[in-house]
Amino acid sequence: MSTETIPFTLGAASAALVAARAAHSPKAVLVSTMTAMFALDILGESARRIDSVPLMGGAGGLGLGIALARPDVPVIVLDGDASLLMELGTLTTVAHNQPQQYLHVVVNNRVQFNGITNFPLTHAEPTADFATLAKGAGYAKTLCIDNYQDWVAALPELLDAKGCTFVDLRVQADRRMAGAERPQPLIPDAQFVRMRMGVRKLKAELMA
Amino acid sequence: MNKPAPPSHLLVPNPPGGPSASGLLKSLQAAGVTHAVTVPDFVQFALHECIFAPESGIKSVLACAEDQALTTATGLYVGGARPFVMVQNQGMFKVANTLRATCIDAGVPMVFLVGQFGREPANIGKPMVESSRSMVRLMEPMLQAMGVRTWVVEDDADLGRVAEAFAHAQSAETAAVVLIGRHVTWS
Repeated sequence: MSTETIPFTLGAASAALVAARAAHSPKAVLVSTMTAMFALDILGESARRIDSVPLMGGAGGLGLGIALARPDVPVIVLDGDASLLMELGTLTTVAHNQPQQYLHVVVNNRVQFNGITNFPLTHAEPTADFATLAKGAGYAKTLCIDNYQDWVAALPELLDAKGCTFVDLRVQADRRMAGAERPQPLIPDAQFVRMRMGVRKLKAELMA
Repeated sequence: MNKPAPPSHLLVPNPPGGPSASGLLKSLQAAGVTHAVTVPDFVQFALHECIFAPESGIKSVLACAEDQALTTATGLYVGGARPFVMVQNQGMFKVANTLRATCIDAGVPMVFLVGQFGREPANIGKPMVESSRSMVRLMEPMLQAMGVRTWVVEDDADLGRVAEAFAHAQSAETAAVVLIGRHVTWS
């Protein structure tokens, strides 16, 4: 399949990010949250990674703290649109504190509970412009990407950029799976301890 | 022409007493802190100014909301720094879910200096749970309900409690809250 025909989903976007991190910035820390976590799990991406869970809205701050403690380490935050909206002020907190190499990607699928119920979100109608919000907050570079080809092409430069960079990643929502015919599953036990394990694992990796 | 009188709410005198900014700063330096992550607090103005000074050796990290302060402090901890969080009681109520996720579930050791904003003079010298102000009265019960230990600092004689809080946070891998019960003095 040519890159022009690959649907721009969270899974495809995450796979491209994982490949680009391995190739261009293997020391970078990856901070994720919500459905991005599951996409990374499917890809087996566990090195130098931590998740803000169960904690919507925490990824941006978590990544900022790591970047401030370790200015020599690039930080990639794979945020959710609903998560960022919960702590939109994070944009100014990040910009004010000027991390050295901080790439903030918001997975903008315009739904809450992506792939489960796909509930509507406040920024979808009328459409809020995350890149403009980030620009106004003080991010050095902001852009909006809405197709796989442009995302793959932009990644090397994004991963090498200094200062605060923001990407509004406009992906398709995943297909809804829950409903009356197929009720949502229970959340697995691992979700409630993964941040505890992640803190210890990443701390050890950064000290090694 | 006579100047107009200031609004009456600005004339309420602050009773003498309270922990000193210099004493608190020494306690923080002795604990080895590297970063003060904060949404600035009315009660701790003097300590903020001490920390802002480059010679404090402590970097100030300003956040626009308390949840961001705590997640940023968590990231600093993961990155190998030794941060603490400095907020007001109102912010501590707001940050409850992030506190649950980071310090309780994830076991991140973190000391908080929390100003008891709004404490009335009549409550000084009495337990804070007897305050007429809800933000003061409910602070300790809320933290106790979450299993978070508290230490009260109202004067320089109490400063040893700051070290106790740091030791507890580290050994128990959890939150430890120092409640600043009086306005920090500018000395």
